[in-house]
Amino acid sequence: MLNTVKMDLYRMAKTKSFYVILLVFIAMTVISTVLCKSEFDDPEIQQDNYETTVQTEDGGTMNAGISVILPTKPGEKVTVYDMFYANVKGKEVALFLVIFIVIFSAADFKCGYIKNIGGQTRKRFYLILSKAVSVIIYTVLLFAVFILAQAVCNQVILGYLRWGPAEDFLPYLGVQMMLHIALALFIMAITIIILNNVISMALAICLCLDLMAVLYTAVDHGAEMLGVEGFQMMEYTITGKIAMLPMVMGTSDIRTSLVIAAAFIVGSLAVCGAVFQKRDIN
Amino acid sequence: MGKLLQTYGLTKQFGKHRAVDHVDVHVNRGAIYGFIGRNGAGKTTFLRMICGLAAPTEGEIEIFGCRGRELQDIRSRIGCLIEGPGLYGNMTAEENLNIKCRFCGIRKPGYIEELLDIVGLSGVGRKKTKKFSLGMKQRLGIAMALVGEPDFLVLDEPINGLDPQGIVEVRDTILTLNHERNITIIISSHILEELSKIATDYGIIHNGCLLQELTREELMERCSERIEICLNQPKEACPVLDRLGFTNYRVVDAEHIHVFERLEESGRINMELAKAGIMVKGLSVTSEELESYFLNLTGGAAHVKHG
Repeated sequence: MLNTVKMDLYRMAKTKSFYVILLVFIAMTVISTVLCKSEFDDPEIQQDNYETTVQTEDGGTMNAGISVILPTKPGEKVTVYDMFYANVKGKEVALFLVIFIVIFSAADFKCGYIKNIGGQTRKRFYLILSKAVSVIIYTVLLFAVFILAQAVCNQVILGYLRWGPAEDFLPYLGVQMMLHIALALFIMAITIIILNNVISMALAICLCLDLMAVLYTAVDHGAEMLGVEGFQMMEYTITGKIAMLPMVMGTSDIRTSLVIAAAFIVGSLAVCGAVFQKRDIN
Repeated sequence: MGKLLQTYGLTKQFGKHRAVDHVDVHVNRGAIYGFIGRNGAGKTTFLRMICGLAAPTEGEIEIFGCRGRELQDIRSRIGCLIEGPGLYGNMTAEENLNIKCRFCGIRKPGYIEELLDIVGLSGVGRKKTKKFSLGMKQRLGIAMALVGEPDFLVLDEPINGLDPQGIVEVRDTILTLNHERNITIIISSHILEELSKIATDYGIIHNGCLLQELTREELMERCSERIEICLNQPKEACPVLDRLGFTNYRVVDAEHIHVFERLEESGRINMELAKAGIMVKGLSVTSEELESYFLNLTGGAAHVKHG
């Protein structure tokens, strides 16, 4: 199993997309900071942004697409936590994450490399577990790169570096990392199960851009017709939780987010493992 | 010689189509087993089951004396190249091998260079595998199969699409592995002529069914020039042939004797049999090309004639 993990990590480090996606992601962080700076210089926009953030946190509303809105109160300095929150909530990180996951998860199937090792492993499920470990490591790495890049951008572009309140930032970082790991493993499972890069990528992007909101609304209506009052599908999805997690989290926010993340992680690995174990390798 | 691979009624069904139908194959240790069949005969499906890439619908596989769940323990002793080499095009030959080495837990210095040397790819340097010729890819595929020093190699059509030079190179590599490393090899192809240059045993598969298993000697015998005598009681003819000094002959079935020596004396045989009161229904000097033997066996000759 350890050898398989080493193999996947080596493969990941040798993949061109690994570096390309990280570089584009860093570039996006720079652009995002520059755009936020121009918004931050205008007090009216800053006030609007702050109100929008408060409204979405209170009302649980979401917009389709990627929108990075600074939550900084007017008159305060922009912290790394503010930028982190805005980008993670806007699912910029999730988008880059799923793009890499689809490419990485499908690569050995697409080129046929899986045939070299698929029959030699004692249990095929180990190959899924090993891939999951690599996905987790990549997610942690992406977050680390993001925070570092953001800190550098704040210092260079905004001219100062404020990290924000650690007692809020660290739990938020931990919970969001778990939610992103769950999303990444879910996308990995989808990619391995359907073995079609285009469909997997389209689905992953739709999830990140909240284009599935139409489907969720239909489910909400269906639940209402069945007599379930106030049911919101979005609250039970990974992408919904990523977008709606407040900056200052309560215990119930943390608990429900971790339960949903754990359910998605276990479910994705179980289904993907069972399918891969059963299915012939072509 | 012990059997390294045996299958018992191995079957693979896709919907209503039986790609492999109750196949019983026997591969001796140290052999190069040529698995011959036309396109779509079921060769690849059979080999994929042997390699653990596909699960049989029915039947059992025994490798190194292990069956069922025990097979998990010996899977690492099998190297395979199925349906072309699976390589990362954006990586070099060394990087592709390195991935497999990590999977097998091999960190020996010089190991990859040695493998590349065996398959004649030691000079490829930093060239990406997507820029390799088909022959180079096939040889790298063999090198991939050799990682972990397997005792049993499964090669599916390794000479497919190669130019004559490439075929010779792959053939030499296979022979070297068999002779110098004592690796048992099962190699599939639809080109009998090529297989006949390396294989020690043959299995002929058609429409998912194994039609025949035979050794190289048996195949050569069947394809060699001979006198074919057709008569009602072959056993009565044996004393006559013995008296005439023939030693290299064989009673093939209830009506045929094949004589493999002194082909110019067919007339004399006919005369002596007649003298002994044995009615000869037919006598001819015949030989068969390997390819036509295979075509006759698989019904391909009829298709060729009608085509």
